[in-house]
Amino acid sequence: MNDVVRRNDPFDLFGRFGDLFERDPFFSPANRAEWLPPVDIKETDGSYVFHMDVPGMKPEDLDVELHEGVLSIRGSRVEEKKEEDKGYVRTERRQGSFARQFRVPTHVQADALKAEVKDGVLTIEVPKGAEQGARKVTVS
Amino acid sequence: MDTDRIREDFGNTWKRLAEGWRALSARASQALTYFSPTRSDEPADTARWGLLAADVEERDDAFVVELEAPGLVKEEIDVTVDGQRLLITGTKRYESERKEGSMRITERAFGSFQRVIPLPAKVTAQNAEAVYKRGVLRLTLPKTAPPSARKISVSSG
Repeated sequence: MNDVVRRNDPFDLFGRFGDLFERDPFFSPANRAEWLPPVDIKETDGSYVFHMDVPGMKPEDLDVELHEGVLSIRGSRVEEKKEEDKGYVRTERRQGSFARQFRVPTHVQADALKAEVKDGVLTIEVPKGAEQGARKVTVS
Repeated sequence: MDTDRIREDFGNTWKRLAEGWRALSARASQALTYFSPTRSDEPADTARWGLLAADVEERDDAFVVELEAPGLVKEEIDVTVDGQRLLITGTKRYESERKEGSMRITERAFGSFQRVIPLPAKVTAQNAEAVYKRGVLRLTLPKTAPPSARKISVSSG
């Protein structure tokens, strides 16, 4: 609730800089996501925690990377049997690949990134590091 | 409840995903499922609509159903078979994921859900199998054996 109040406060400009936001998933027509799994992002005192629903995906199907403050989550799943089998009477599950990217505040520890997948839920923990922006300047 | 409007709102939420999701909504609008709150003190920002996508494969003697339902506890999934109607109910809980910190983005739906999947032929719960793995529920539902054809000989009167 505090968060909503803060966002609506026009004087709290600094509060906005730390916000997570998503980069447009469509980078180019050739690199279009075929499906996009939903995500929850939580901020705790020590980290940002991402939970993404990726049913059916194995660890080796997923790729998580943090580079220059951008967290990229990619995955692909291919099931060739469906092309061959004519026996499907309902096909709602998506095949193919997805990519989502989120800008995270730069004061995170990229080398301490943790990711695991369990019961079709990918959990990524991005630990916060020391705030680098705070510097003391002596007035001469 | 104005379902059409909710579906439309759901569509707006994902508007950046133009092509992929448009194709999906045309193909899988039945996968769009409402998640009911399980507690009165549930956070107001909990998403209420989620996609529970299913594939159904027909084999000679059975149907194989695969339902995407990530993040469940298998003990909280119920499967009921009623002739040509398959009913799957369950509850997706948010408590452990949200116990500390503040939510920045909430797209995943939580709560209790039910999904009805019509089947083209009658099935039986006898010898049915259910496996929950990697967030996918896989059901093998044997078809009910058709009543064996009986031949009636015509006798002359």
